[in-house]
Amino acid sequence: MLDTLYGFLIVFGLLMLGAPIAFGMALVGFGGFALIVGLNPSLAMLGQIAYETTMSDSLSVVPLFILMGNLITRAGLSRALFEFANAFLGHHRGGLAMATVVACGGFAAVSGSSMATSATMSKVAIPSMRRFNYADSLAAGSIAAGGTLGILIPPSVILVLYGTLTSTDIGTLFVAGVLPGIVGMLFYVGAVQVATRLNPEIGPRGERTAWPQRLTAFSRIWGVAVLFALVMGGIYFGAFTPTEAAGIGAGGAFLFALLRGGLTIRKFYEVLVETAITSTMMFVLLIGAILFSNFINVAGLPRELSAMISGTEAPPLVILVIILAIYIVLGCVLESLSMMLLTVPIFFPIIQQLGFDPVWFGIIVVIVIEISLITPPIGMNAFVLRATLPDIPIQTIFRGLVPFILADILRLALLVLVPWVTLFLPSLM
Amino acid sequence: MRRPRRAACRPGPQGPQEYLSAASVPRGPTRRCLTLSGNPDPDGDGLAPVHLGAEPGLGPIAIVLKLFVALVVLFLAVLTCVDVTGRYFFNHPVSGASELTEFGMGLLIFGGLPLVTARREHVSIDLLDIIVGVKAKGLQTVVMLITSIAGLGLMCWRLWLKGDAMARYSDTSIFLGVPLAPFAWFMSVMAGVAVLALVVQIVLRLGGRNA
Amino acid sequence: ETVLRFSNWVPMTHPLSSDVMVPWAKEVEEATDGRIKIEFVSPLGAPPAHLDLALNGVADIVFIVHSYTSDRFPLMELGELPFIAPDSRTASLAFWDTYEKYIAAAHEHRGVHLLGAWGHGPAHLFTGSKEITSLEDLQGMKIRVAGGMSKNAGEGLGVVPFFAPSSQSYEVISKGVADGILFPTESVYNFKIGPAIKYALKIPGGLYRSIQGIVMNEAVWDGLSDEDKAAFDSVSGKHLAALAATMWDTQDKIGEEELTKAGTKFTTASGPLLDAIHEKLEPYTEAWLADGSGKIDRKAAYDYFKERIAYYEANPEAED
Ligand code: NA
Ligand code: NA
Repeated sequence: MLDTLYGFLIVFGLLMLGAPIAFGMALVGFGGFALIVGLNPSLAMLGQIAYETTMSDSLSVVPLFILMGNLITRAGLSRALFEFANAFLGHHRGGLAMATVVACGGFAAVSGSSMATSATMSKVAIPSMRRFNYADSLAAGSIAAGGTLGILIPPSVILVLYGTLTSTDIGTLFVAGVLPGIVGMLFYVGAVQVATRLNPEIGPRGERTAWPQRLTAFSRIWGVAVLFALVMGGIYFGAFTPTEAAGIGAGGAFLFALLRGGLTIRKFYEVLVETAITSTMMFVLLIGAILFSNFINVAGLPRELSAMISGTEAPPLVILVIILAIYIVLGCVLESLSMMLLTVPIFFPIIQQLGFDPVWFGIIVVIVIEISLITPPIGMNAFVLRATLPDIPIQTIFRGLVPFILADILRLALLVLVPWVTLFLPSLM
Repeated sequence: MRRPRRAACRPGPQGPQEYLSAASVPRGPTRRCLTLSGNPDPDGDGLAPVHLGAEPGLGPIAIVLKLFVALVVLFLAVLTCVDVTGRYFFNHPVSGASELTEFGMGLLIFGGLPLVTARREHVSIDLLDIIVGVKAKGLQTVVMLITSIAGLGLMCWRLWLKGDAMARYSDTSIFLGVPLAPFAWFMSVMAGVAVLALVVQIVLRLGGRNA
Repeated sequence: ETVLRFSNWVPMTHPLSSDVMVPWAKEVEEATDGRIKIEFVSPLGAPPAHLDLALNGVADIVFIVHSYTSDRFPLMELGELPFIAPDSRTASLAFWDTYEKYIAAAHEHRGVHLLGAWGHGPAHLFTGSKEITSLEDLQGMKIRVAGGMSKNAGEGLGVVPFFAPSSQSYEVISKGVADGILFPTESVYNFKIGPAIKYALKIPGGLYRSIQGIVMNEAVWDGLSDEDKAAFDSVSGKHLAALAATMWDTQDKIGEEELTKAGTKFTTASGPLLDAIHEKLEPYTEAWLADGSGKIDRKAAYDYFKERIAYYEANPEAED
């Protein structure tokens, strides 16, 4: 147990000092394993893990879904989505912010990344909101929060990695993410409504859009709906495995981008290179995380924690709440992917022992990771906004995020207390 | 992910000559720079164009690697599409598609490793920045370089030996019977190239300072 | 007290873990009067890597499936040949005898010490919606196969082989990505593929069976005292093979009962269909016998294997 604690402290120290997360975890995992098992075995393990983690058929979903998201982004779909949502919601109080959240949800349905969702949406939503004199806090908050839906509404790279680490079916995880994602979107819309009711100046009404224009706006986004239906329908009805769905999704996104025009060979080449580079970043992280989790494994922390919990009389729900509290605190200072990779190997066996559903817990983990993306001091989605809009102070962004963080906590409570929301769709599969 | 900062957001490097002086070795992300902060965004999609040229420490090797990984991504996507449509419409899946995918994954991830490394895009947290400010930058770079070189160097070494072991056993893939050792050797070489890229960057930087 | 680390990629709830590995570990502990304790840890690598994990000392003890690295075990493939034995126990005890008498001398398990090896029950042909009454029915059907002899059987039968790891077999069958699967009955039941399977065609002696075993890092084994080695031997080898085989046979029986109850129709192949299957797959046995790359007399090993199978078939209670 103490070994693991030291390990954790050293990883934390290295990360804070600027070590890349992947190498921080890899080196400590390697060193710790060497101390416990032996230097030569640890060296052999390092080569083995680096080799087998990449040479993986099922993990090809990662580059393929990234490719799909990149193609869609480059096809300029975010603008069409925002205009569509705005056509229906813009004339309400805070309507543009609500439209932003809904458009983010739509974008999330074809992109696996939260930061990409925020980044691409900020470009199109901010100018409109400024034109209607929205407060910077609400404008930035709705984009940063809406973007978090990217990892919950499938496809989701985080869910793929969770599935890999815990041997949970990725298709089931994807299907399980749909309802909580929609609930999340609705809660964010509610957060905008409450915030603008309390303080009407921050989100004035926009123009009402007539029905003909609404239909025109719809005609520009049907492609997303088709693509989402193809990918998720294919998984849901068993037409193909998630790996195949990702390939089909990428192919569909390519056709979509081609039909919308503007996909030059050069742009396509850029998309391919960008996909490769992002995939490499993810896999190097994954290799580091697996090395670290092997160290935790032989150091015996999960077993000791399990034994400790078996010894207590605490009801499972209390233990779960403690685990979630740890996640939320960690989420303030840790980056999303590394937080999941570091913690799931420790907490997952406990969750299993307590009899919780692994699919349900996967969704809960993703939601606490979503929260981590928008809580200070390290909130990646807030930072994306900060980079996109250098004239808005980071404090303003975090202030604007408060209603959304509260909405997230409410949603977390709902999903913990009513597992049905998560497990209903998978139960029909 | 690395915290994007205004100061760190700059257009992608234009070529190897940019890195000949110490001042121009990039520290922040280049690819993640998100428009509005001064980057050109000709496509209007909210994303800065991807830089396709040479990279610091890799020089023109980067151009070849980019072409290579782009082709592998394309191969993976086309292979999956052909496999699924072949199975549904012609009752003829690509035989051994899952193994071809595995090989592609190995080539893709490690082919991209020198690129990510040379661009210093391995994900990291810049918390210290917030606490102590810019003064910590030098320390951060040193820790980043040491841990990256150690991690990549170990991978380079052990993957080579892994390849040797597989060659000794003449391990082949279960379905297609393709020898597996060359894949481990490829990974090892790529990890080695990534280390070299960092070393060249350091040498160039030190050289620049002395001059 | 020595603690040996067992990296186990089989879920702890699977009967292979709960009814074989865990009881065996307890027997080891008792036989060594508590001097040796076996500690199960979550897998330290992917299933096919486990042989190397033990070889390199990453783990002390692992469970392996020989066909995952079939290149390293050409002789162990003897146990996978088709139409060999009616159940797991007969095949496994006879195979262990043959291993000790012939195969061990070839040192295929270099770097590790083989504590015991066995085969699961006979693998049959399970199909989703189409009953197989002749080989023609199989043409163009997508059938999930594994590596080794399973792959050969698929090719020999002329199906469209669909290769997916066993962890994905549920996914590919239940959703109709594949039309059927070659599997032992137990696996169809335990991987919960049953609801998607309407027809089971049992092949007497099986289309193949996987040879599996438990191995220990060789240096760790050499480091044990003679007393501890003897204690290990007393609960391993054929005893361990029998323990595992009994579990597989029990699971096959439960599987067939439960699947039948749930509506799967079991038929045993016979007549022209069985003749046709024999004709397609016998060449693989001949190919194994003709392959000269091993260092042993393959024909003698094969004959001895058949002889021992006949013996255990005639004496179902025998353990000698
Ligand atoms: Na998504
Ligand atoms: Na945070």
